[in-house]
Amino acid sequence: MRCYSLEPNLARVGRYGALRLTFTRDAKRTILSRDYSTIPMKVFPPFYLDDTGCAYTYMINPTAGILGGDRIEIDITLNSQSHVFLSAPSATKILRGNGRFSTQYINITVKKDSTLEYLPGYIIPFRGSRHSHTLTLQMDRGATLILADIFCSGRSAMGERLMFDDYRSYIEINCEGNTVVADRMILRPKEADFRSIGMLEAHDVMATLFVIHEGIDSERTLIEKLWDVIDKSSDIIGGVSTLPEGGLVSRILGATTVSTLNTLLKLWMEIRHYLFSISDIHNISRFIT
Amino acid sequence: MDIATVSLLQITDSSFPTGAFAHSWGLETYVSEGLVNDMDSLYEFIESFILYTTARLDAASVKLAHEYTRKKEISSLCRLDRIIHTMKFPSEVRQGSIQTGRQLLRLINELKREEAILQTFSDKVQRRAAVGHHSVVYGLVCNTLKIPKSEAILAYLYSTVSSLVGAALRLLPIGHTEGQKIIERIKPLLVNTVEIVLKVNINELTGFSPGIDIRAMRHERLYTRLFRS
Repeated sequence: MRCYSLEPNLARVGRYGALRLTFTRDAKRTILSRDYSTIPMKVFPPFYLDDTGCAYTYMINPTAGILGGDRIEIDITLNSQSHVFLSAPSATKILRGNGRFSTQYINITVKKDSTLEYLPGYIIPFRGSRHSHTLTLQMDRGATLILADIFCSGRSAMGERLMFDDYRSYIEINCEGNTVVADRMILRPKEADFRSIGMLEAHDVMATLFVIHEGIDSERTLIEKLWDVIDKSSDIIGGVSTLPEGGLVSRILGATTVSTLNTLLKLWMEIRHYLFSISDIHNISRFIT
Repeated sequence: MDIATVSLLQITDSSFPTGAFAHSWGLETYVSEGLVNDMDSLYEFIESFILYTTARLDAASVKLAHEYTRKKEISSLCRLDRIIHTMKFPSEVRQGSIQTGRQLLRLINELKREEAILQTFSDKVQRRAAVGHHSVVYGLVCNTLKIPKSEAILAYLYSTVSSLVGAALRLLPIGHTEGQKIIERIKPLLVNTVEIVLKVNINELTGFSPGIDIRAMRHERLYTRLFRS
């Protein structure tokens, strides 16, 4: 890495990390058929926790976190009829970097009749950090998605809350070329009162869960079960609603990452049970740390 | 004095039947939870609603729709309408925006038949090629009625506040004078918010108010409800 003063091109300051993954369904299960990565990004070889053929894998960034000036690009393709559960073994820490933005671009293609479950590590923007996160998904007909996004106000355990400078996130889900979800956050704690009614209020963690699956928005029994999970959870408030074209959304505000993740996982279990008839909660909670 | 000003008064008047009075946009849930229970908490809710839900999403959409209509860019209008559709997650809020938008469009078509772009957009809504969200229709209508952009935005913010205060009068034990005190207090904020709204471009549309989103979702589940959202 070069010295900042010698490098006028901001985009080239810091690390550039890339990860390109392709998953393909073979006779019995989904395999990682193409895997390219540069430091600091790595992917775990898939493992199989159940008999559905679903490939469970982690994306990891073994360094201390994402530093101002870093640029990370992730491209993931799920070929038709594959099933992947992608997660991360730890939180994504956004470190400060002399006022520079770090950027993360994730492009995901979910081809015909394939299923992606994507639970990235929760994002913790540190004091003074600036980060921009863009996730775009292209889904073919018959594709299914369960996607979560979890954001923390900071290192709350050490009393650092809402001390970052700028955090931007944009999630766009497209089905057969039409945008069905666009979720944009532009958060500058110095310019807005995040504690006021309507915002984070007293909470420090926000999670959003999107489910895209044809016809799922009219599954009243499932929707009731999701409400039931939310009503029975403590230290969170949350809601469930239907999306314009065949989807569900849930938003949760939680006091801690533990209470928020617990609720999120219970919702996830209900959805998995409905979609794939998988009900083994122990496997999945061991997988997600 | 001009006709445009009278038109603005007409379309933002509470007697103009767009059905906005039937919505509380999450306020009813806050009241039922006891979190909004007096003048101060009501003011805080309305302030958040203007700054974090309306300014960079619906009011910015009014601004963009006004500009696209001036440039006769029907495809940009439809794209904006679609973006608004994908950014409103609570179903009742999305439906409320569509119902009031289509109602405004229907009324204006009864009154003003000659405007070509209004007709084209109405046709698209009728054929379901456009959704017809309220902020988009309102921006389109204001431009065709020759209402200047800033005035259109300010009136939009004002009628949002006025409709929330109207809902609060029915939900909380506060009187009309208290309601007017809220409006009086928020006036400078509305004027300042117009400046924020004028700077938002199409790639910056955002409505970040998770607390309100969640209450708008929870509204569907309230045991007794006065409002449709």
